[in-house]
Amino acid sequence: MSTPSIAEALKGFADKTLSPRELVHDCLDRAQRLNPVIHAFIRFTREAAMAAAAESEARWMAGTPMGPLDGIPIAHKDIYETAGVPTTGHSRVLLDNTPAEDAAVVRLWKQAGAISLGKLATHEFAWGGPSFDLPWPPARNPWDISRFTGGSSSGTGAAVAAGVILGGTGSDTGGSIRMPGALCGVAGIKPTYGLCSRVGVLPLASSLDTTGPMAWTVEDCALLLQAMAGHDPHDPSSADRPTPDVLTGLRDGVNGVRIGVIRHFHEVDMPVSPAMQGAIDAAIGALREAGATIGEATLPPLDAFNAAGWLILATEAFAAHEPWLRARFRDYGEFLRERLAVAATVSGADYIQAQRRRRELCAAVTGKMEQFDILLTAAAPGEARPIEQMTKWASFEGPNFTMPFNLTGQPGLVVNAGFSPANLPLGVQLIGRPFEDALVLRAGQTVEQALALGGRRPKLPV
Amino acid sequence: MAEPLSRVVFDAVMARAGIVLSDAEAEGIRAASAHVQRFAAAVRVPRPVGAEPATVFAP
Repeated sequence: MSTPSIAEALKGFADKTLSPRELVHDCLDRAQRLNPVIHAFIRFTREAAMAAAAESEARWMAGTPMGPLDGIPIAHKDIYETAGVPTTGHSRVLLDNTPAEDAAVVRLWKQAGAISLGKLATHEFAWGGPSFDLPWPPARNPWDISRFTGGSSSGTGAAVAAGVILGGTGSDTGGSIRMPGALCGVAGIKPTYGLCSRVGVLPLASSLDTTGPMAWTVEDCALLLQAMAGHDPHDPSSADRPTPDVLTGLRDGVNGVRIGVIRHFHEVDMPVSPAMQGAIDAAIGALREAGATIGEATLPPLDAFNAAGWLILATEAFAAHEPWLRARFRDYGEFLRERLAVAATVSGADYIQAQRRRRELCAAVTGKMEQFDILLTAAAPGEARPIEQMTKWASFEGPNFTMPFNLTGQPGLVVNAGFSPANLPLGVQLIGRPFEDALVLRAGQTVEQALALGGRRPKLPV
Repeated sequence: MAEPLSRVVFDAVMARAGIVLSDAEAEGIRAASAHVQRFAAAVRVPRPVGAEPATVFAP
């Protein structure tokens, strides 16, 4: 069975040409057979998944699906708490942690009918990776298993790309949905900060952390986002406003939408590979062909965003981990414990200066969003690099393209826009105004449909 | 590239954090503190003394 999209699976369930039980069974079988190669999962919940699939099938046969994702095989990044199922953050520190309750997003997807196949690999506590000294190995990129998946939602990117789940949860503090999305060739959206609950998700940096979905297509991301968005009074960052409809206008196109290409980000501040530039040009061409107007957006330099972002991320992460660092320093993997130790060198004044800089950078971007509806740039400098080249300090050494929009809280979507000569995917990033996630998805849908790259899947042994 | 923290200051910071390191670890992490120093310099742009951080909130 070739893996359907979520939208295709739901249609198949409805017209009874596809069985939820068979789909879940097939996904589980492939996931378990592939896992020794791609290491996307750190834990399977096969028995519970098959029981849920049987119940889903009965509901579909009776014409009474329980929600908009009934029967869809998904999985959760292992920083999302799952009732009765260990949640470790891919770390030795939490090896024995079995939550009593589901994270809010896990509960919402469960209520929508989604079926979790298990827990997915992540960089340790969403920052420490790729690491080889943790209880589980790092996930591998299904397009070439010698390559990095991107992180920290590494298992989600790998599992979706391999077609063993139809979607999954990620989290994004400095790019952790968008980078694995780009390098694994899947769609992923970092929603507006405050749109989706973070209750029950292990924190990394509270003023940046965002939960969000990853899936094979933009439409699937929209379906998953619709089922997880909404105000949560238990999350102090949650926006108390009506949940936006990200589905109804998804196919309305971008005629008249103003696109601002942040050319200096990917041509000057952090020049991308020629293939990546080709992918960016292809995405711009697709949007122009669909009636969007294309202009050039100039923002503060990428380095300015990254300096403020990394200081804030490091400080907030250190604060979250401080008690464990004192007591269990050697239980962390080398990458994370040493990054957190460096984070201890950020002073209180450094942190506040970074937050003052953040306010200035947000103002600069907000001003630019009066001229443009959508911003476009790279999501990564090029194709996925060999995993052994990913060094401990790599993220500090050069800027990334994703951090700016964690600082500003804007929605950011990654969509595949091409392939490198080595047949590795190349993702572009689309950014909208806060709470205009629907428009970002519309623009991504336009690019995806025009470039029609979705039929190309990684070649895997099973 | 900014300079890393001096060994004296670095050791004091690690002691305050309760992190015990070997000499080799300390030197590797101390060298990486140059990145933090570079970021810290970059966020110190001229601004009015009353410029608010992004973390203010309305009670």
